[in-house]
Amino acid sequence: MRADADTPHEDVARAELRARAVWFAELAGWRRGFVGGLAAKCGGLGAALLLEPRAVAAASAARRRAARNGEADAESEAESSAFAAVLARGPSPEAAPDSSVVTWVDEAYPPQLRELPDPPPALFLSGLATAGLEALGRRHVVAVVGSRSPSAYGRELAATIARDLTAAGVLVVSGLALGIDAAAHEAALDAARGRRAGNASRGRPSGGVATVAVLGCGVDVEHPPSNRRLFARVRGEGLLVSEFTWGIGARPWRFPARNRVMAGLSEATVMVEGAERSGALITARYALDLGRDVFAVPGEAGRRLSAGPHRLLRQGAAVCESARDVLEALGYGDLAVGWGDRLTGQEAADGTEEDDPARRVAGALDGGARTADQLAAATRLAVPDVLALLAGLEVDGAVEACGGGAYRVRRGR
Amino acid sequence: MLASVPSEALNGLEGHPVDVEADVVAAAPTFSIVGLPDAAVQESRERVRAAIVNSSFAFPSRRITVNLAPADLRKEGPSFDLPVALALLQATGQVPSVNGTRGIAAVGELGLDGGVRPVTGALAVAEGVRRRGVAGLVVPAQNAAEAALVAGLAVYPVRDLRQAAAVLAGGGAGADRAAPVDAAALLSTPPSGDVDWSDIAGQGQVKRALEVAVAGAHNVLMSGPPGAGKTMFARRLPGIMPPMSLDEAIAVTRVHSVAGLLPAGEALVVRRPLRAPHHTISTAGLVGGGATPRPGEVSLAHLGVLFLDEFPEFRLSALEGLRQPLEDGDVTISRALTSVRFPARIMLVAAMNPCPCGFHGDRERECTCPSYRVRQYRSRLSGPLLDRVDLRIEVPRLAPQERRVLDLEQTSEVVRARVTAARERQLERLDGTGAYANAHMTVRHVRRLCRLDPEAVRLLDRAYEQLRLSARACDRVVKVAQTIADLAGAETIAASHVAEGLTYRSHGMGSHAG
Repeated sequence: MRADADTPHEDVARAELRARAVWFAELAGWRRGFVGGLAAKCGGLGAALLLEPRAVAAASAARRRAARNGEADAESEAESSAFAAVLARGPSPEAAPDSSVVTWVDEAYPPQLRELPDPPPALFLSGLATAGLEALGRRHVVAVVGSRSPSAYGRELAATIARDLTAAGVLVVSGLALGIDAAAHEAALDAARGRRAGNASRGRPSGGVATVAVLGCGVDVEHPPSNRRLFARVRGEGLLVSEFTWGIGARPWRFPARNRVMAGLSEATVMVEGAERSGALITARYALDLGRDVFAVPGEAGRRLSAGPHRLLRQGAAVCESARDVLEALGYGDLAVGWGDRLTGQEAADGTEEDDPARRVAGALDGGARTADQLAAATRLAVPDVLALLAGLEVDGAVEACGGGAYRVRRGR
Repeated sequence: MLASVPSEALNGLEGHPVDVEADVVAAAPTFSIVGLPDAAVQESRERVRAAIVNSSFAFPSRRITVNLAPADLRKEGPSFDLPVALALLQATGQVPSVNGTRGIAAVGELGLDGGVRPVTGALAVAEGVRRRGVAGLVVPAQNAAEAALVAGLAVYPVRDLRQAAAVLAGGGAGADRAAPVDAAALLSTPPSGDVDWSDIAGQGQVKRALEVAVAGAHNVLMSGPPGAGKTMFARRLPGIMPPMSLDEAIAVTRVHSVAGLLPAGEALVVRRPLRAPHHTISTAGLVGGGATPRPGEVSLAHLGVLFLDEFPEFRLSALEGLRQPLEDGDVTISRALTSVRFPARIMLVAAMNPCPCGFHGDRERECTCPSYRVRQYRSRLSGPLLDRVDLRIEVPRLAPQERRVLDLEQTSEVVRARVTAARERQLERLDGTGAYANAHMTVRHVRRLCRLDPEAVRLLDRAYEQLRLSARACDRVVKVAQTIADLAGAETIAASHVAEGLTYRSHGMGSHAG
C-alpha cells in the first residue's frame, strides 16, 4: 500500500479505501470537478478518501449549489440524477474487480500520475491490464497528440514519429480520437508487431504493450464509432485507460480531463498539428504545468493547423522533426549509430540501384510521396513503365498509394 | 373532292407512315382535323388557314375534314402543317392532283405568312419516307441537308407554301433538288484544332490512363481537387477517339436531329459528341423520357462521351437510371401506347472532388472538411454504378514547375492513331461476340479471349492475395490489361500490362488513414 504522504488511519481497511476510490471515480464521471474540489478542500486525495461517505454527501450539496451559479456547460438532468444515485448508494466493494480497475491506493497505480494536482482516484482498464500498468511504470512514455482532421503531412509525421519511438522501446500514449491520435496508435501497433517478431526470432520474450490509449469515456464505449477496428486492436495488443467508469459516454468536458491524464502519464508530449483552440494544446499545457518536456512538430507558416504547434514553439517548446529529437531528450545515448538510416529509410541509396528500374523507382520515393509523373521525371522512365513498376512494388507491400495519384514507401510493416 | 399527301409521324427515332387526307364538300364551313391529333396539330388549322390566304390561294368556304391515317397512331407537333395545307390545295383543285403526286411526301411547319419553318427529326422522316417507297420529299430548306443524307430519295427544299405547291404541281419535275451530301468528305474534314491533347501540361499519368480508357471504351472516374484539369481532359476525349464511320455519324445525327440540336443547314454530326449535363439534371433529362419520349443526355452522347462533373452531386435516381444503358448500350422507354428505344453507347467519364472542399489528400493545401462529411460525400457514389467503372484516375494538382512541361508531340491526332489501332485489334478478337471494345466483354469473353502469359497470371494471383482484390476487381484488371496489351500491339497480356492495370483500380477511396 502506498499512502505515506497522507497516512490513512490504520483502522480504515485497504479494501474499504479501494471501494471508496472507485466510488469517487464514479462520482467524478458524473459531475465535473467534484472530486478535485473535494480533494483540494481536504488537502489531498488521500485525506478525502478518509472522509466518511456521509460527509462526502454533505460536501456535494454545497458543490451543487455552486455549480448552479451561471455555468454555461451545466450538467444535464440525467447526469444530476446519476450522480445522486451513485452518491446515495455509497461505496460498494464489488464494484471494483482487481483486474480491470487500479486505484490511487494500489501499488500498481502509475506513479507519475500522482504528480497531478488532482490525480484520478481510479483508472478503469481494458486490454493488457497488468502488463500495461507495468509498462507505464517502467518504460519511457511519450504522448503523441494533434488534430482530429490533420493534413496528409501531419498524419505522415505522427505515424513516423510514433513508429520510430515504438521501435526504440518507448511506449506511445494517445487519445484514440480520429486523425493524429489514430495515426499514432496505428503506427505504434504496427511497429510493436515488428518488434515482437524481432524479439521472438532472437529468442527474447515476445510480450509487450504496443500502445496506451487514454479515453474521455468509459473503456467499453467506442467513441468515435469509426475507430471501432482500432479499438479492437488496442484492446488486443495494448491498453485502454479511462478515469471514467464503464458505460460513461463522451461529453465535451470529459476530454480536457482525459488530456490531463494523458499529460500526467507521459514524460514528454509531442504535438503534431492543431488549430489555435485545440485539445492537444490543453494536453501540452498540462504537461508544461507538470514540468514535463513538450515538443512541437513545425508546420507550414500561416496554415490553420500550424497555429497550435507554432504557439508552443513560441512559448519555448522543443522542435520535433523526427523521433530522434524526442529520444535524445529522453537520454537515449548512441543514436548516431544506425538510427539515422532506420529513421529515414535511405539505406537503398547505393550503386546497385542503377541497374534495376524497380529499385530506382523505390529509391526516388525515399524523399517522400511522389506522383508517377514525378517518378518518371526522376528516373527517366516512361509513365506506363513507372506505373507497372509501382504496381509490382505495391503487390510486394513495399509502397502504397496515398491519394492524389501519389505513392510513398510503406511504413511500419 | 378528295386529296391525299403522304407524311411521317415520329415515334422516338423512327418515322411512321401517315397519310394526310383532305375532303372538301359543299356544306356549312367548318375545318376539323381527326386521327388522334395533339394540341399542336389542332392549332395547325389556324396556321394553315392564314398561310393559304397569305400565299394568295383561296381558302375554301366549305366543310373541310382532314384525316391523319392511320387513326390509332398519336400525331404530335407542327410538322403536319405543310402536308395539311398541300392536301387542302389539291382537294380544292388549286394544285393539280396529277398522277405522280402520291410519289411526293411533305413535312414542315407553316408560318402565318406562308413561310415554311424547320422541323425536328427530318433525317428520321426522310428515312421513313424512303422505306415506304415514296420517291420524293418536300422539306423546309433548313432541313434539306440532313434529309439529303438518305440515298435514293429526291429531296425538295422549300422556303414557302407557294414553292411547295409548285413542286407538287409539277410532280417534282423542274423543281430544285437538294444536292446529295458528300458524307465521306464531311467525315474527313480535319477537326478545328482549338482543343488538342497537346494543350495539357504535365499530367503524364492521367493522359496515359485516359488513353487506355478510350482505347478500350472503359468508363472512368477522375478524382482530383478543383482546378486540376478534369474538365479540360474531358473536353479533349472525343478528339482522341477513333474517327466515326458514316453509319455512326448518321446514328448520332438522327438523335441530335430528333432532339432539335442539329445546327440549321448542317447535314451531319461528324465529331463524336461530348455531353456535360449539370448535376441538377432530372432523371428524364439524363436518361430520356417525358410524355412523348425524348432522348436524354445519355442518348445525345451516343458514340461519344458523357461527362458527369461533380459526380456525387447528381441525384441518385438519375445515376441509377444510367445502369441499364451502360449495360445494354441503349435506353428503352415504355409508355402506355408506345415503347421507344434510343441508342446510348457511351463512354462514361465521371469526375469528382476527393471531398466537398476538394483538398483531401493534397500535400500543399489542407482539407477543411470534417471527416464525417468526407465519408458522407463518398458514400453517395452508387456501388452498382461504380462496378461499371473500370479505371479510377487521380488527377493531382500540378506543382508550378510541372505546369510548364508540355509534350507537343502527343497531339490528338497521334494519340487517336494509337487508339484506333488498338480498337481494330479488339474488333478482330471480339468478332462475333457482339462486343465492340474490351470494356464490353462479359466474364465469359474475358475467360475465353484474354490470354495471359504465365508471369502475368502469377502477378495477378499475388495481387489478388496481397491487395485483397475481389474477383470482380480482378476481371476489371484483366480487361484493362488487355487494352494495354492492345495498345502495345502484344499478342498476350504480359505481367507489365497487368501491373499497370492494377494501378488504375480503386485505391480504397474510403480512407487515406495510416
